[in-house]
Amino acid sequence: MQVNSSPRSLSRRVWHFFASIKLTLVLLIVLAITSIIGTVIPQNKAPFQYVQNYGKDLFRLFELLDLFDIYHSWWFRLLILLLATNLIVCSLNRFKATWKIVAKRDFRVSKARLEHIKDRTVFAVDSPPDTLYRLYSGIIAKHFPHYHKERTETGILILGDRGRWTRLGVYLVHLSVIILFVGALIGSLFGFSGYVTIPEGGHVDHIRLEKTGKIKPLGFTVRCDDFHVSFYPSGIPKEYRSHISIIEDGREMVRRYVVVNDPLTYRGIKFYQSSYGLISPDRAVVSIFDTRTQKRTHVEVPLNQSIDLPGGEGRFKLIRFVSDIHKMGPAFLVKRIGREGSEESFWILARFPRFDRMRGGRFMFSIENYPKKYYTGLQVNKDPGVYIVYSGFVLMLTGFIITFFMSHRQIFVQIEKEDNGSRVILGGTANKNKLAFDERIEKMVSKMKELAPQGK
Amino acid sequence: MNMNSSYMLSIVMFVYLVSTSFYVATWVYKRTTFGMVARIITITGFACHSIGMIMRWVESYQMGIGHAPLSNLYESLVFFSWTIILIYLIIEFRYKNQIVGAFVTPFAFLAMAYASLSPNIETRIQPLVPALRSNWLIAHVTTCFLGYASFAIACGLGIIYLMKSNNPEGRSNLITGLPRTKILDIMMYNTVVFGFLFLTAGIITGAVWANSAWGSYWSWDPKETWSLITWLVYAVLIHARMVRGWEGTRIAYLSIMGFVAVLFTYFGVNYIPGLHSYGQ
Repeated sequence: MQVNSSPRSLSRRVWHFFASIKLTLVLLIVLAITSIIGTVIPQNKAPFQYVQNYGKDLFRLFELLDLFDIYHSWWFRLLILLLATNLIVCSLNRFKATWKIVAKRDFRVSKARLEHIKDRTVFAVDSPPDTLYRLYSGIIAKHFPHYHKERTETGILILGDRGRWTRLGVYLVHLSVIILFVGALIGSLFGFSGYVTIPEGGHVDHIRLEKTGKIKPLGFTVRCDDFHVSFYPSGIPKEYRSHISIIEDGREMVRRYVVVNDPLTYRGIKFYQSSYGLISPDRAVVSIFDTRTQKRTHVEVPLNQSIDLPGGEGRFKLIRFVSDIHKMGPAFLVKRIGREGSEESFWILARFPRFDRMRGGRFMFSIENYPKKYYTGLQVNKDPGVYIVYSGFVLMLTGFIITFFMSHRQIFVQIEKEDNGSRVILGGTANKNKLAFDERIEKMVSKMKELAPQGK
Repeated sequence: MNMNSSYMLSIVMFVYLVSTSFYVATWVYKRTTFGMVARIITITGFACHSIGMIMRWVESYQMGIGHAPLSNLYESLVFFSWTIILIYLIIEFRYKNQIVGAFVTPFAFLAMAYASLSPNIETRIQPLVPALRSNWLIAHVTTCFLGYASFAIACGLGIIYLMKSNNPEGRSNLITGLPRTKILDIMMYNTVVFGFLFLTAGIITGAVWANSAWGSYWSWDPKETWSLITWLVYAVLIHARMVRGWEGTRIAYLSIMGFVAVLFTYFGVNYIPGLHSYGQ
């Protein structure tokens, strides 16, 4: 066995390794399979949840393999890098040969290639070659506007060739994939994504980054002037909109509203309407209905302050507020302290005043009113690579249309003198969609046959 | 009986059942009259189907929550079935072979039956949640489903191919009527390519939409990831064919595999929590 370790042969072997389409197929399959793992194992959850689900040993193994953040793991990135290299090397390797065909029309080459076509139509016509050429040139020119004509010893040879450039389509597709990778890389290097909540009337000048949880100053101030949420009759939210102002150096630079699907952009940073909620109020007007005396009283209750119940029947207080409980809207947690010191806690729903009736106590509590103040939750992102990615998208679709639906078509028509008339030999080839091309040729032939009377 | 879109669309389901039977009969008994009937019924069903979708669109406006009927699982299944029939009819006219219908129309019928009969599927028109209120909705859903439907048909063609190639001599009467393997192979590949273009367009429109709604064009959400997996399977098929010259049986298996990935992207992902919870 001969071991050749000179640098030239090594680089050639590396080149060879990456120029293989087998490698492409293997990489695509491996990427597909590893991507599945990431959809089966929930990603980026808290460690204790994983320990609960998989047990300690499996947790350690999975963590070692980065299975909890697969798509950002070093080995997944390595796979993508390998694919990118493979793509570039494969494309470069083939491009030379393609460029030779595309760049210059070489009739000797096409002649040589066309001679190999086995599938050819032959028919005899009673007219001499020159007459036939005059008859046929229109039909040929319709399909191949820039055909080439030459005289041979036996008659006339016509070579048509169209769509050579479509052979470049596949390189556009491959280039678009590389552009996508570059755009994504730029985004992950120079972009960030974070989150911020601003109460109505409040403002912030920093956000919390999603990945690291660190605070990032924005360099300007974002103020939420107002927040609105509208509902469908069924209670499902229809639209939420934040009125946002951007203030920089004491001056108001932008003022507009932000809704879902319509973010605000300032200095390349985008603010997306992401969530909202009610801020815990500091007080509420509570309606208390005494089922024994049938009397109703309204009391304004500050949160976490004990209030006497009518008739000296003990006290109660509002201990907590949640903006949404089990999708039934805002609710308050009430603690009732009886005369003898007995304690009882229960929820009352702001939207359903009769809800507390089901508890069946002597006093029925409901919320009459409370100051409704919202906070808005904004997703804050910066991705300088996004337009590169978009141009990759456009290029990819363009490349697909060229690659899949257009082809390089070539044809030859040989008109040879034979006895009193001529013999016509016609054949053609297309690098793609051969079936459609064959049909077109058949149509051409039948038109030619119509134009000139056929010989025996 | 009050004529509304749901009623209309459940009639369409039965029409497709009838047309499926006629396509199967055409295949088994090789009568051209059956084929004619199958074609007429399918076109009628398709017309009713289109009307049913338009009615649903109009009804949503009458309810004051107007939106294209592409917003939940029921509506997507109805649209999926519609695109299958649309593409199939184009193929039938293009390749002038009706036996393929016996393997394709069942997909359209099954999608309609699942939509109309499954108790877990909400058939009422629902208002759009804020995230879906976007012009990208129509572009994203139509491109995705043109892709899915093409892949469904390519899978049907793959099944026919395997049946045919396993009995090349045509000893069985059922096999001889099927198109030649060479033609099947080309049909299968062309359908895959068409689907691949639309799946790509679907992923791209989804990415652009996601970027305008959530601030990120790719989040590795399970549905996104599975659409990528599907894309990779078909990318393997296309490369194997274009560069390695794979044909016939191997392409047929890959086409069936690809459709399994499509089905998982469409239905399976609903069992995994993620951003795409509208389609459940």
